[in-house]
Amino acid sequence: MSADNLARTPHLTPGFTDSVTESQTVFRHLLEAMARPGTVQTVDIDIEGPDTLDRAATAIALALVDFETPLYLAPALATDAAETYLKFHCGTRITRDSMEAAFAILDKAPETLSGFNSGTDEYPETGATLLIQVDTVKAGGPLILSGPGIKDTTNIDLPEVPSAFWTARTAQQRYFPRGIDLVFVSGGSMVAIPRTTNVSLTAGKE
Amino acid sequence: MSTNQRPQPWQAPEHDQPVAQVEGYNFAYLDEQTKRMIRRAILKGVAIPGYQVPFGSREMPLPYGWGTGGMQVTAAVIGRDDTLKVIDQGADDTTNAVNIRRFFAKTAGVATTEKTAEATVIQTRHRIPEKPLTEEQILVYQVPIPEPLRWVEPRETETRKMHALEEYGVMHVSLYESIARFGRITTSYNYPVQVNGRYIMAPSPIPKFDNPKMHQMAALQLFGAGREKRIYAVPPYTDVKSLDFEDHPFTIQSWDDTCALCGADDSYLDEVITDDAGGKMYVCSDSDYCAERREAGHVGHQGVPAGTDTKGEAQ
Ligand SMILES: [Zn+2]
Repeated sequence: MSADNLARTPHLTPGFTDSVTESQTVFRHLLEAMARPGTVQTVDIDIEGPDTLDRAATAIALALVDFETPLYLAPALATDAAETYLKFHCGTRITRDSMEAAFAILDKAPETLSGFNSGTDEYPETGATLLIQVDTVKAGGPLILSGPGIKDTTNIDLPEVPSAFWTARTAQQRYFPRGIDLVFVSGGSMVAIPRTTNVSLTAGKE
Repeated sequence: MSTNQRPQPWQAPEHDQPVAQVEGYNFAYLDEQTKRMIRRAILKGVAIPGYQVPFGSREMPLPYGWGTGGMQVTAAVIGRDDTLKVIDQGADDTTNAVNIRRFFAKTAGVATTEKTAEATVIQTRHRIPEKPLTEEQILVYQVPIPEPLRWVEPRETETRKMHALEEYGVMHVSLYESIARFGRITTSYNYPVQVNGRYIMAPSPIPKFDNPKMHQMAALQLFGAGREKRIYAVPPYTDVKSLDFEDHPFTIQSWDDTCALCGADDSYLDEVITDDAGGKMYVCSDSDYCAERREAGHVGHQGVPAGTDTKGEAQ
């Protein structure tokens, strides 16, 4: 399909209006989120992305995904509109094989991280980045984060993510430097949990 | 694309205020696809502290050795709201620093500054500013040789394996041989560090005096090596430990003298020859730090109070 035909597709909404500036802005938010795990960053950009994608997920895809980085969409998000949008604006290839994806956009925390590429000991940067859409990301709460980027500890709340997910993730951390980097997104907000961040749960809510 | 007739970016007059971005260049020079690739490498570098991420380095309009790696990182990071400071050996006014600052003032239209406290992005060659950096700042290092194991193992395939398996014994043996031969570790620059208890990393040729500043720094630290095509990072508040031995702990350079101009006893000092008879004095390598101290009224033993006419003092 040519770009002209795609542009006339009724589903296809615009990407960034000023791609140079907006890509840089979104990247800096994500860089800040990755460098300071647990801090909530909010992307203040108006984008009319596909219905199934949160604004922050669309913004990160527009800023960072391209033909060099195959993208996986969870089945619940993989509408024609979403695939057409991402293929057209990012020039990316949508893959059905989650193991092949450099980026993935998911509608919930996966039961296991073993369905995604965690890189190799020699090239750990090939480990995937998962954008996980949730209803709530907020500072303060029962999850205690520590590790690089965090002065002492910080607390966040991701109420929809089951504790079994954190247990499985902690078990996988022993394979460092192999690992998977997580970005939880909700609307325009994001909080990153890279592979080095240790996550533990307080006994009860504060 | 012909670049012959283009005025070179560093030939522009320097501005310390934002200027309109010059037509004909991409913002911050690099094309968007290259920026995306560099940005992805930076993010993975942050996620794996101290690990050298390979990236597809692009030609920059300055020769290697002028900080093309640092410039590519700065170009990928910087935005219109940033204020850029560039230092070379601690000074803002060297040719290298001035050229890089002009380059970004012209191609990105960003504000530039010589004041450490005013900068949001600081690109550096060979120093870390004396003034403690903040959470609002990013420090970008120009790196000539990113591989800390290169001098003990020249083969890239081998050093990659050593990093992968955390097999750093040969590095310790080599440092210990230096102690056996000279009674101390003789490395004074680019002194190797271990990041977050895992990767051994080259801090770039900063004096080891600066190594402790990297430890638990509030600012994000990014490293770019253009010729060797590597990007690496130290997130804020991350442990950075200079390699040492229990019986030979790491120590930094120290001086019997203080800064001749501002009297500082806590900054890295450069020796300055003052006359043909071998006269010399020591002054702060960090020119902004020294100037700020003098403005605040500190006077060294060769200095004159700020605001005083200095004519006739210079040799
Ligand atoms: Zn001084």
